[in-house]
Amino acid sequence: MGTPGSMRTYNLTGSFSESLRDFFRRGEMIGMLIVDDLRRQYTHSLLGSFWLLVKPLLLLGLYGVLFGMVFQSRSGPGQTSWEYLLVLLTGLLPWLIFAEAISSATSAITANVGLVTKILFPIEILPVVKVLGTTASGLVGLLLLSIILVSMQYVGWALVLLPFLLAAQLAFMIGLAWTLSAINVAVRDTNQILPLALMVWMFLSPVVYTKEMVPQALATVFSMNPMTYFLDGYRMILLSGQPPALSLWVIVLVVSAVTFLLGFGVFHRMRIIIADLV
Amino acid sequence: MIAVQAKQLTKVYPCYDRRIDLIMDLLHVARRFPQARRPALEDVSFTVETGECVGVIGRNGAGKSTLLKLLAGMSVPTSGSLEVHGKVTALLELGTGFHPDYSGVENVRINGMLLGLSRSEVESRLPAIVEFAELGEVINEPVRTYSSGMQSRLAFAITTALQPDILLIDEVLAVGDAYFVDKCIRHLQGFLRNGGTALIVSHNAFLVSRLCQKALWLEGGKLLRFDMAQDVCQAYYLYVRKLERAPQGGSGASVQGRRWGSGEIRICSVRVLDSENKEESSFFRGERMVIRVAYEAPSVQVNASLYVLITRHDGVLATSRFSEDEGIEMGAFRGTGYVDVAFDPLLLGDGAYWLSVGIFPQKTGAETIYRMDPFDHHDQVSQFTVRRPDRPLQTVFDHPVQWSHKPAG
Repeated sequence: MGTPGSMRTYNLTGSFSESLRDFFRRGEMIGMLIVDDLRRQYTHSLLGSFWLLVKPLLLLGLYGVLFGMVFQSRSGPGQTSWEYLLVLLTGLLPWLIFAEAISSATSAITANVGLVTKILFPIEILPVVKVLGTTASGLVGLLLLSIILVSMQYVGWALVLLPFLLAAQLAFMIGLAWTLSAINVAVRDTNQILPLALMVWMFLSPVVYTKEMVPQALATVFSMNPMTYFLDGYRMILLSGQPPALSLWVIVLVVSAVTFLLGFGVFHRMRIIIADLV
Repeated sequence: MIAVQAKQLTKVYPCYDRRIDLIMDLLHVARRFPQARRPALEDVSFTVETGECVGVIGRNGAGKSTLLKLLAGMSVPTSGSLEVHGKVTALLELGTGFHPDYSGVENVRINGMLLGLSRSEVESRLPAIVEFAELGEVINEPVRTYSSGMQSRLAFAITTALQPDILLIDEVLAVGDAYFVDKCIRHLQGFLRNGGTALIVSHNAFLVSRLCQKALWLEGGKLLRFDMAQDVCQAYYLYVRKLERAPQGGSGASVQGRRWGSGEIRICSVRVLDSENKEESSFFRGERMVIRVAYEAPSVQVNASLYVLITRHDGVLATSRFSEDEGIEMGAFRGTGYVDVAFDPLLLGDGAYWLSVGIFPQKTGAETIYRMDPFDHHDQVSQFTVRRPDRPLQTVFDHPVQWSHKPAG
């Protein structure tokens, strides 16, 4: 028996800060659920967890062949197709991590009705698990790309900054995932709108081109887009081998922290009725 | 010490014209008002002391599950206050989050953590869980190969590893075979003996009166009664039976059952009397109870027989007497009169009972065991309750016995 008068383990009506503190104590459960999430994806498959490697390998290989040999495309004067391929991949991999995680995390709550309505469970960790679980295969791809770039001496010591940039991006993604998954409980259109929104967002972000190629007229739009800074950061680290500027770090960290906390706030407000709605 | 205190607890499920309004309202973007709806729970106040076991009964849609969800903290009351002191575990459904491809043991590990145990707690309690489930070697097979009873056993076994102060159970005790149900109940009784508090939602009033001291009867979201489990359960059963008897769409005023017969003798009234010949509907075991059947016979009928059947609220045939079987000759029935059937002492156990009465013509020798040719027969014409004066126990009846002790020495 616990001590009389002690709080229940999971408190729906706790304050924002209490809930946030609770959330950070759930590392063990989150870790277990991520492993479980990955296992569920790969049970009954012949290759098993090897799929984690196959997907990014295929992606890198396909784009390599397509752009390096077929298209012979060039993105600017003096740029070879090989260089454009690297520009493309350093944008595409972080973007795919972002887009895949957001689209799967949006239905994290609606896909787990049992956990929401039948057991006393801290549901705010569900979108987080989805974000981190989906990121796993993208991380492998990013790692492969880093190895290639290091071996070709594109990247120097600045690579040690990559985990920090990635962590900031994950915080940004988790914040968005909380917001979207909570809203998706009430308004199921979210799931329909999202692929379209992500497509538009992708073309408004320097994914298949670089920031420098954006026309002046659209510069303001791009400067309002957080992903511009993340992608710029990746390219600085992976292609230029330079640490991103301090201003970029400030923007990235502030955007991530604000999105994370705002997302948690939205979820915190919504979760008192989530169990009534699913 | 108070474990649960609810004051004017009310829950109205939100219903806005458009769902987007709900988001606007919750996030304080704009003020929107939900439509008025019937509350799932309305103005419910009660207190549960630490160590008590409270049954929650009521028909479907009465608000039982809503109440449990509020207590569990999975849903937030619309108004009123709710205090819950202590760690809560809610068993609303068994096996939530089971993965069919994982073995029993792996599911125990995952489910244990989903239910709030840490990894090390799960590991240390794993042997006890496996032992409780009694699945043998099968525990290492994928859960998809389990029967539903086996899955329930495993799921319930996991919950035995949780050590809550307050246990909330929604109809999950009725799992597996009789042996396992009994094991679950014994586990629950052990939990209660150790000072645990429990609230149990069940349709099985027998289970509620066996496990709980108190019962809470919800009807249409309102608290109808909160009292000793025996009393509430009996009242609830009588109420349900009354509803079953009520003609479809009718006023519900008629509580009487089927009536049929040829009509040579008609039953005018059936009254249940106590030892002072006053009408009474609740008795203690051991008291004198008399059933007085008043009749009207327009023509003379010789040696008619009287039949009395008593059924308990849950359908158990408690006792049936037929004057003819006992060789009693009633003599002539002419005009009006009454027959008394005395139960002295009344030996029936705790419960609410229905009384059926019939008057049959003299046996001609051609009938089978069942007499289908009454002058008049009233199904469930009256009802009464019996209570044991000492400890409450829903035995069918208290058989008189003789004790004898013969020490060997």
